[in-house]
Formats: sequence, structure tokens, C-alpha cells
Amino acid sequence: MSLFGNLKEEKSNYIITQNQAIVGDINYLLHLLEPIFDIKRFYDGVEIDTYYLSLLVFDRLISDTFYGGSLRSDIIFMLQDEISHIYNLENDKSEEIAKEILDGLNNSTNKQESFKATYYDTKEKIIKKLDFRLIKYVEVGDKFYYQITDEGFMLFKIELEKDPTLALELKNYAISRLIDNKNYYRAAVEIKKNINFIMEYLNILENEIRTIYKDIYSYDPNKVFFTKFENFKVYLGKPKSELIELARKIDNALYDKQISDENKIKLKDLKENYDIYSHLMSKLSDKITEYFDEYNNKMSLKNNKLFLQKELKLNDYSKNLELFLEFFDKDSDFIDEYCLGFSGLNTPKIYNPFFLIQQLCDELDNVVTIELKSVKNIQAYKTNPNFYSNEELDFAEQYLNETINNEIDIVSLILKAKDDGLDERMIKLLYLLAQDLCTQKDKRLTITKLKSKLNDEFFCGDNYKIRRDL
Amino acid sequence: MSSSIYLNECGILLQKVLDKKHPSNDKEYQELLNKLNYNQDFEEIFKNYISSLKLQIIPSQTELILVPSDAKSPYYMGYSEYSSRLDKLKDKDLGDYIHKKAILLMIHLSIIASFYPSESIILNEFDIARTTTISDIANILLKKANFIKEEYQGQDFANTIASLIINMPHKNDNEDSQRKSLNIEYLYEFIEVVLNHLVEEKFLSKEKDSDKYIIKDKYKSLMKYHLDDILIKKFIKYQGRKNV
Repeated sequence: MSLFGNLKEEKSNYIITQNQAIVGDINYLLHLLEPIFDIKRFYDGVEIDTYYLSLLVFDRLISDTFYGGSLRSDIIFMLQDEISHIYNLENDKSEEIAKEILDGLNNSTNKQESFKATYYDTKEKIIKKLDFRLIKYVEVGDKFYYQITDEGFMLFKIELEKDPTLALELKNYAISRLIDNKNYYRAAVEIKKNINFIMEYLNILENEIRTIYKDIYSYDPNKVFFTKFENFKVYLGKPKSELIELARKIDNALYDKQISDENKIKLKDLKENYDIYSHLMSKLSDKITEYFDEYNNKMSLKNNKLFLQKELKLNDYSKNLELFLEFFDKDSDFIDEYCLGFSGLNTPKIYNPFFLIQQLCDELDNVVTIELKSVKNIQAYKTNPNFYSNEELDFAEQYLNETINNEIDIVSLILKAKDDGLDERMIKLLYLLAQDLCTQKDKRLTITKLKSKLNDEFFCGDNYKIRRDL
Repeated sequence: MSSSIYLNECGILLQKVLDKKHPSNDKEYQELLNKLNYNQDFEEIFKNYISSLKLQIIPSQTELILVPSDAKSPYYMGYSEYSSRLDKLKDKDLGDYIHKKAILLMIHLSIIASFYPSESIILNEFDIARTTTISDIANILLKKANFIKEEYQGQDFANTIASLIINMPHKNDNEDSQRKSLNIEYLYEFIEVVLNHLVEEKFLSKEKDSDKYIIKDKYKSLMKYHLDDILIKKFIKYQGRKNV
């Protein structure tokens, strides 16, 4: 799953036009770099390269010109901004450093300044280093551009897949640039991609939360996704100035009189998509919080269990009781965990024959019910003299309304039967027949839900359960 | 913590129950049991403790009966623990796994029926049969199986179980010489395994030099306690609404 997945082909074509040999190299690199990949940054602790690269990448991704790249002056300005922000430097000083970085990168003979990547060679099974350049310098007329190199682009792509929040951040930036360039159609397309991207993450999160609920003790999060969720959490925790900026730009454009009507329609589409996008972002934020709350909460229970498993002793009752009291003071819901703590110990079992009977009955009940569920129509009841008399069945058949389609119909049928003064035995039969009718029509009918509904309404809890086996 | 003084005693009392001791021949147990009855603090702590292990006390005059209150208790014995006891039975003629369970259920119910011959007697302790034998139980079981076979003709599962029981080789099967020569007293064996386990767990005792099994207070107390949830609903249903 990647925001940039579909750009791969686009990218390959581009490379082919430039340098066929690199395609092979990059493919080889991509293959090699998969297991372990680590970017060594140019300057310690500086996020510059990321920002800087992002600018280049996006200019290249969204550029409509062949020389897609960033103007040297733009990049120096941006770098300068970053550097002065990070090191608290004067503008002059930071500008100087920014220029130095760019010149260093641009100097093809200076290998020390080139980009270094370490990777694990799966064939030779050793760690290797690679030197290659991330950007190149292009001069068109009287303008100077920087472009990201093909290797740089691929490496960056790998980084982005590791951290989707970076991808999102860059996308937002790209969209903002597209709006600046009045390319509203393309901006809307990009926002739609973001929407799909977030939807996918929402689905994954939903599944993960469900898995946690199901069984925390066997829950083992997928490490790759877990890191991504953590990144998201940090990312979503920060204020989203670029999103606010986006909204502002869209609004401004909407009220801009100079923009043509045709563009206004595109803008409206963009605005709608933006609303969905920002809504989904906040939803994602909630889901991530929910996930981590759930995860941490359950993990503490899991840790309690592991702790107890270590501490509880088979025959040391006083110690076990002490542990219980200690935990119970903290958390009264912890009895389940306490009991689970014994799971590793070979505790003696206390036999209660009546419980065994109960357990067996319950299991056999299911067997019987499953067998009987294949009985699908009134004929089956008719042929079995132990269930109902033919008169009763005929009556029920006439009474039954053919328009029964869902559980609401069943409930109203039973209500009507109650009003008509039919006895419980007959109501039970009607219920069974109606249920069969429904199941024939609609497989999704939730019988359990219906049962509890009916039980609540007529049969006052457990005293009288509707059953098939009479 | 004030409760800490009782920690040790609580542990010992639980240990006594788990070791299947009886207060009548264990002085310490008797003393602790008295304490449980007369010392409220002790009672409270003990109850708190056993509920933490998901155990509950079954009312009884003579001893302390603890049973798991649900399947999450570390002391709970379900079918999976029980099934190892059935492993020694040769699995002939038993069909599916679920059939074995059904027969096990029928045997348990027949044991109940052999002590409590009619529904009304359940509430009246004086009319409870004091002893039972394997052949008594086998007879009830066969009678029940025959009844099911007649009454539930349309139902495959019940029928299969009934046929399995009826066709299972047993002691009184004189007519079939081939079976007798094989000397598989399968049904009897099955019942015996169940009964012996009940003896082990002190629900029943076996009379010396006789084939009689005697019902003990523990079984009666549990029976009384589970009257509502088991007997009325299930027992009658599986017996086919007739007293055996």
C-alpha cells in the first residue's frame, strides 16, 4: 500500500528516456535494499535532507515540464529557513550554510558529500555501503534547477513506504503547490488518493482492534504496521498547519473573481474532497487513539498475567492470596487475569458431575439444532408426527403471512398471534415457520438477535426459551 | 493488612478441600471449618479468596464443598480434562467423538435416575435410594435408549445414540454368543469408569465385597444445589418426558 504505487510505471518510463542502464541498477538496488536499509544523513540531527528531498521529489512528481525541478533560489530559501529554525541562526549565516550544502551535493567529484546507503547483501551475507548521488544540477537558459536523481527517487520511495505519514505530509505539500499553479483537477485527484489511503488504514485499524478484543493473549501486532501506526500517532498529534493552509488556499481560490467558471467547478469538487479528507483525518486520529488505548490497556493485563504466571506458586496459597489482594486493590476487574495466571501451573481439578452434564448438554444441543436446521419447510413438520398435529400445522400455514421478509415481520406476526389469543405452543410453531421462511429468502437474518428480542418482549427472560427441540 | 493473619489458614483450608480430605477424620480441617462457620472475618476473607479463584461454596452440613463457579477457574474440570479417563476404554462401536459424549451424558443421567427414581423424590431426601449397582444403571440406560428409539424416530442423532447403547455388548447379552466370547463388557466398563471416578472424587463410596455404590452427602448436596439448572430442564428432556 503506497501513495506512490501507481507512479512506478511513470517513473520507469522517465528513466528509460534518460538512462537505460540505471533502470537495471535500481531494480537490483531495490531488491537488495529490502531487508535492511538505513539512510545516513548528511548533517547530524538535521531534518533538512528529508525536507529538501521532498521538495525535489514533489516538484518532479507534479511537474508538467520536462525539466521538472526546483529553482535554486527556492531551495536555498527553504533550506535557509529550516537551518535558521533548527540552529537559531541569523539569516545570512543560514543562507551561507544552505548554499554550502547544495554546492557539496552538486559536486560530483566530492564523494564524501555524496549520499551513503548501507545495505545487507543477501547473497554474500555482509553489510555493504553504496555511494551515490541524490540530486543533480540542471541549467536551462538562464535558470538553475535541481533535480532528484533516479537512485535518489527510488531510495526516497522506499523511505516513504516505511513511513506513510511522511508520504501524507508530502502529498499535502504537493496538493498545495498544485493549487498555487491552479491545477485544481490534479489536486482533486491527489486528494482522492489520500482519501483512499486513509480509508485503507482505517480498515486495518478496525481489524486490529477487533483482533485485540477477540484475544489479547495471542495478539501479536504486525511489526511493520505497528511502526506505521506509531508514526501516525505522532504525526496526528501535531497540529496540522499544512492542512489549515490547504483549506485557506481553497477558500481563497473559491472567492477569487479572476478564476474562470470552469475552474470554479473543479474547485468545488476539490473542496468537497478536501472536506471528506479532513473528516477522515480526524477519524483516523480517533481510531489511532482508540487502538493504542486498547492496546496499552490490554497489554497491561497481558503483563499482569505474565507476571502472575511467574509469581503464582502451585501450593503456596498464602503467597497467592497475598498477590491477589495486592492486585485486587488496584484493579477489581482483574479476577480473570488472576485465574489465567494459573494456566501454566498444574492445578488440581475439582470435579462437578453436574457441570459436566451441563457442558455436554449444551454441546449436544448444538448438534441437535444444527441437524434440525436443515428442515426447511412445513412439509418436514408434517411428516414428523412428534412435533405438531396436522390440524395445527394447517392452521399455522394459513395463519402465516407470505409477506414475511425480515425479523420485523416476524415480530409483528408474533404480536398479532398474541393479540389473537393463540397459545404459546402455536406461537412457537409460527415463529419456527416464519424463521424458515425468512432464512429461505434472506440468509443474513440474524436469528440470535431475533431470539433475544423475542425473549425480551414475550417470554420474560430465561423462563421460556424458544427452542426447536420440543 | 489485617487480613494477612488469616492468609495461611485460608491456604490450608483450601488445600484440605483440594486434597479431598474429610473433616470427620482430620482434626485441623474440622477446626478450620468451625472457624469458618463462627468467625466472620475469617469467613469473609476465605470467601473473597475462593471467589478470586472462581470457586463457590456449596451448602453442606458435614463438609466444605467447593466447586468452580465458571469455566475460567483454574480448578475447572471440563470434558477435555475428563476425556483422558475414557481413553482406556476400547473405542469399539462408538462412532464419532460426539457420540461418546452423548453416551457419557446418558450414563451420568442414568446414575442420577438410579438414586432418584422419580421427580418428586428429588426434594424428599428420605426416599432417595441409598445404593446402586452397575447393572441397575445399565438397565436404566437401556430402557431409556429403547424409549428414545421408539419415540424419536425422525431424529437421526438421538436414534444413533440409542442404537449405539442398545447394540453395545453388555453382561446380560446371553443370546449373542459371539459377543460373549469376545468378552467385551463395554457398556459395563464405561459405566464403571464413570462410577469409579465419582468414588475417587468422594461423591460415592463402594461397599466392601459387594458391587454396591453408596451415595454420599457431597453428591446429595450438589444435586440439591443444581436441581434447578440441570434436572428440571435437561433431565426430563433427555429422558423423553417420562420417568424411568
